Amino acid sequence: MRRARIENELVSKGHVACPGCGAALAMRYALNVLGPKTIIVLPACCWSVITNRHPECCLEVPVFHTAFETAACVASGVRAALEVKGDNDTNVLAWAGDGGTFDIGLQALSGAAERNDDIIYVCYDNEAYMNTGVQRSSATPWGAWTTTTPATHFKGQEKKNIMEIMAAHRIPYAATASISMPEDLMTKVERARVARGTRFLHIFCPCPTGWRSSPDLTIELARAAVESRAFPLYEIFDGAKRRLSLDPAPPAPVADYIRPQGRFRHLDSAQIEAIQNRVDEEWLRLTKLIENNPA
Amino acid sequence: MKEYADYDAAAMDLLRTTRNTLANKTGSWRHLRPEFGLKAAACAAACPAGNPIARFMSAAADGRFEEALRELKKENPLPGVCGRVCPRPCEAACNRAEFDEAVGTRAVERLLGDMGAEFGLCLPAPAAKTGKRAAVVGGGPAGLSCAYHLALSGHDATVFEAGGEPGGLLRFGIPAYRLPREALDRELGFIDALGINMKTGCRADAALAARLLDEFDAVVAATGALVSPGLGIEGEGLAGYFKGLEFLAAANAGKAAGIGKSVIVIGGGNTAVDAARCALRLGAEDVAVMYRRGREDMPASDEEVAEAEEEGVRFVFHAAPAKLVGEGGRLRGVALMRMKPGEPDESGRRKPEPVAGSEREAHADAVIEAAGGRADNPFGRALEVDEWGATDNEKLFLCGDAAPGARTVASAIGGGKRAAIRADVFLRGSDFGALKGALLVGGAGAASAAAHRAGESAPGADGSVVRFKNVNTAYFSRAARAAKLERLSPEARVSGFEEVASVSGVAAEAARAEASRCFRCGECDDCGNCLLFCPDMSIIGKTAGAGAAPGFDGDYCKGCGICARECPRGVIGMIEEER
Repeated sequence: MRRARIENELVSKGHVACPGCGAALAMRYALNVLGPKTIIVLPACCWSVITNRHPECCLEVPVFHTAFETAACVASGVRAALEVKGDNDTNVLAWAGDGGTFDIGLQALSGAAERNDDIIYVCYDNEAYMNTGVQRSSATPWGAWTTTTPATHFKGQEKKNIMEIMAAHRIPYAATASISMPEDLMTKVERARVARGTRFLHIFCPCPTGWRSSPDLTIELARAAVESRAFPLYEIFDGAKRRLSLDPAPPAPVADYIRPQGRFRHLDSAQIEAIQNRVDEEWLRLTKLIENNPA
Repeated sequence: MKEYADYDAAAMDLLRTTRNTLANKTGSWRHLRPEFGLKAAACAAACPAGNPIARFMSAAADGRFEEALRELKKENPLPGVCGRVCPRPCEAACNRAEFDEAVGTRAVERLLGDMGAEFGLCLPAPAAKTGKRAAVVGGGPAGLSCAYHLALSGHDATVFEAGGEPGGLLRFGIPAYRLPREALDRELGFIDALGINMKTGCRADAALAARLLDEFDAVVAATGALVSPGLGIEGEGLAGYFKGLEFLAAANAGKAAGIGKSVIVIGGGNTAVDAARCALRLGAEDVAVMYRRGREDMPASDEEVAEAEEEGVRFVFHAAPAKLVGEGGRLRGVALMRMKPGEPDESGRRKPEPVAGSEREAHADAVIEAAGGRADNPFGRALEVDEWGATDNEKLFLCGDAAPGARTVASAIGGGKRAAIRADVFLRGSDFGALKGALLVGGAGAASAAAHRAGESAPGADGSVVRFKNVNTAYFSRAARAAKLERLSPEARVSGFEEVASVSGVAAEAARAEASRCFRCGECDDCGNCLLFCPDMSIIGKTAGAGAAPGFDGDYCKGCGICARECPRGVIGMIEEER
């Protein structure tokens, strides 16, 4: 099989993402679809570091670095300014991590989504505050080690369901995507690009540094998350109709996904079994939702 | 009101970046680096003939059959032969066996070989003439392979063959029901096409050997191992006692008669099984193969044994002849001893020992001895020979069954090729010591003549062989074997010498479908995974065609290893960075 090729290489070499960074790949794929006529709004997150120190920037499109909680509202402002200028075809892309989305930027995101401001909001999710030293976020999954949830007191709460929060805002398009499936990811970015209003993409990006996993396993872990149903791929249209992108049947055991990661090393098999049960329940809940609201 | 353009960055109190990150050479972070290079697939490393399996499978999977046949012919002049008679070490080594089922490599090779009827010989272009003359003594698989590769290297090759036609063991030793003569003759067309001089009816003796060494620039002895030692027991003079290879030669020439109703074959190799099956086809009703060891120690291929059993051949294990019994000069039967396994011998198998008092007589109209031949080489019996066929005499080389090593058609073809490469290096006066490290597929397998002619390294010559752990199975889906052999009914088989096995279905479809199952280990097919999954944009895409691999940009590659992990077929490895 011949894979898709990157035509618009808008991330330049020499960026300072850690070796094996999943978030770096997510940006490559997204910009390949959105093209050079894109303005990125970047709150505090790994990517605000990856671009490298002033006066360098690895992104070959305009980037607006902004405060942690403000990605969505700054993007709204950029869109308003473009409208004043009569520019309707530049993509405005808010690009935030899970901390800046699930936690700190949720209010601004909710506001923009409620107004249905014409922006694309990507949350690249590496499941903790990684560049500040691996602190837990509300996207960190149950059972994970972080520096604020040490192995003896690993995270005891489930990952927040950001997709259903976004669906509750009735935005035109929301989708999950994985860097292990770039073609599917880029198809979804294209669907987002051609839609109008607030568009939300939740991109799953393994982080070797924070997950304590070998950097070469980044794609493999992203794939294992999909194939074990720990991270289902689906789309939500107008906050209501849903479509599954891929049904990994039969699913791989979730242990295949959990075991190679150092952040789960302290878990015993009963605890992994608990994660498996949770994944199975969530899958059932999701597939029921999709069944009842097909796109 | 101010126009937008009036607001410059300074007025808006914004810091603006001024350049990209290309000056930032992140390659300095790296402690591992990707290593691209064509590796040997496990199958190719196991193929005694050095077939470029992954390479021809790539072409065949795309339906480019002529190109596939051309790739095959670069290493092996007789794919239609090997595709029928080879015991398939490639399939035993196939990485796909750990995934679902080994690829039917032999069936694909056979189908491609037979496509020569449509595409012609598909020979590689010979090198420029060197004006050197080489004699090859013996026109069997080793000698023919040697002459083929000598001719492709630009030398003037002459083959001296004792029989009336070239082919050697392929013609007189392997029955037509396993290897139809038209399949053999078609591929032997290379003899004329490459201008190889074929002297048939020319049995080499010591005088001819001396003359050849005198007249030719190099001489290769490929005289086989055809001297039967006999059983060494009483009664070998009786009518009804046959030597296996002589019996097979007569049967294959259509000249065997009077074998009788009950036949006992002594031996456990393919010659024994072939002799037994020929006896059935010549009208024998009760044919038994007696072997002094157990089934697990039999050198004959399981496939041959199974086919023989279907046809009605009986196998009797742990039995050895004590003497042949006759009446009036005519064989009546054989006195057999029961054998029991004793201490392990040098082959690792347990040495059979007779059980005292177990002697009994079995009736037989004929006894065929098929215990395996030994070499009797007119160039000298006890020649010292290295793994390349070189001897103490710098212009004399040895290959095939005349040299030590495995005795299969594929190993004869591989041995002939090694001797041809070694002789070519001698004839050109090159330094073999500098070359030989780069010539073996996977570092220890067969030699690659294509690499030698191109002045390149054989795939995986540094010892890098792609194993199952190097294959990323996420990129393959399970698929049952597509090219299946179907066989005539046992009744139809024994009524003549018609070919027993054929590949079912339409050849092109079967070849394509089966080739599509091949992982193509170690062979870059430009899938683009490494390009797509590099977080540092540091893969330099493949620019050339087959045989090329991508490279990487050392200035920026951080050595994460994703490219190696996500390469479906093990082309990329990670090695320690030297700093």
